[in-house]
Amino acid sequence: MDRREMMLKKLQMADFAAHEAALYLDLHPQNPKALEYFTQHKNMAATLRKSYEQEYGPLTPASGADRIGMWDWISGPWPWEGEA
Amino acid sequence: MWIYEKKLQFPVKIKTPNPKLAKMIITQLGGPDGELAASNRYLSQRYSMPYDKVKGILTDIGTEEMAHAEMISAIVFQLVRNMSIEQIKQSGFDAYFVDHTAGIYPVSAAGVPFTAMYFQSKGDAITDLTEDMGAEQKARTTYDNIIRLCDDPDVLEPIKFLREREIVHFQRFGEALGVVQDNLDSRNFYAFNPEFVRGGSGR
Repeated sequence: MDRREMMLKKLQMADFAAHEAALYLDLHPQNPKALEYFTQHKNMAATLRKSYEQEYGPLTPASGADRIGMWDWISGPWPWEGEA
Repeated sequence: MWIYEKKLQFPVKIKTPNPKLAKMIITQLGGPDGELAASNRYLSQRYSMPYDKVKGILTDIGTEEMAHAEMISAIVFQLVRNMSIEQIKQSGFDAYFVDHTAGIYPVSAAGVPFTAMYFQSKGDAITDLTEDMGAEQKARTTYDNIIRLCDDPDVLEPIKFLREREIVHFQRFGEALGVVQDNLDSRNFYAFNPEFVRGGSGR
């Protein structure tokens, strides 16, 4: 596993943890432990996303022009190609 | 992967119930040239598409079409919200009502449920993009017909927005087809599938 894959995996884990907590919170919106867990992983994901995008390019069209003054959004590899 | 945004692409605020109009507009959700078919078409075709520009446009338009399916569903929902039993009987909405009440279910104007047979994913860049251009025009014609049958300005505004998007998407798919043609191998004179034949030589 190269550095890019490692960073992506960490982000996937943080995103997934926040998402899983969000599903729980949908039905238990007052639960303080779930709220804390969600916030912690959401913040972790935000930090990881920022550093991943700075190094390897945009994950959404919204950050498609953040690097090198060009439309970097379309640059491969794309996620279904099994390369990233 | 996808993330949901809790907003419509263009506002939908309808004051007057109109099940007769809902029965026609729902075809742009579940009908032959509807937004569900559009979204599934582009998001299915992108996997085998060979060029980054075209993978990008199929992903981004396919994603926008999901937002359009949401807008059509919102229009239909607001048109059948608070309708009376008398309106249901008189409008011809009774056939839909008996199966789905006022729920949103993807059917055509004639009541035929959505089917994947409304679109293709052929694994040929030229074939797929040519279908996509045709699909955008067919959806535009459907919106033209809806506009002819509709006199509620609350409904016309979002419908006119959706009609314009068909025209923009047609333009972008035309450019995408240009990208594919520019990449054709000069020996591939008859433009055989550049996706499947490695190197695009068509042999």
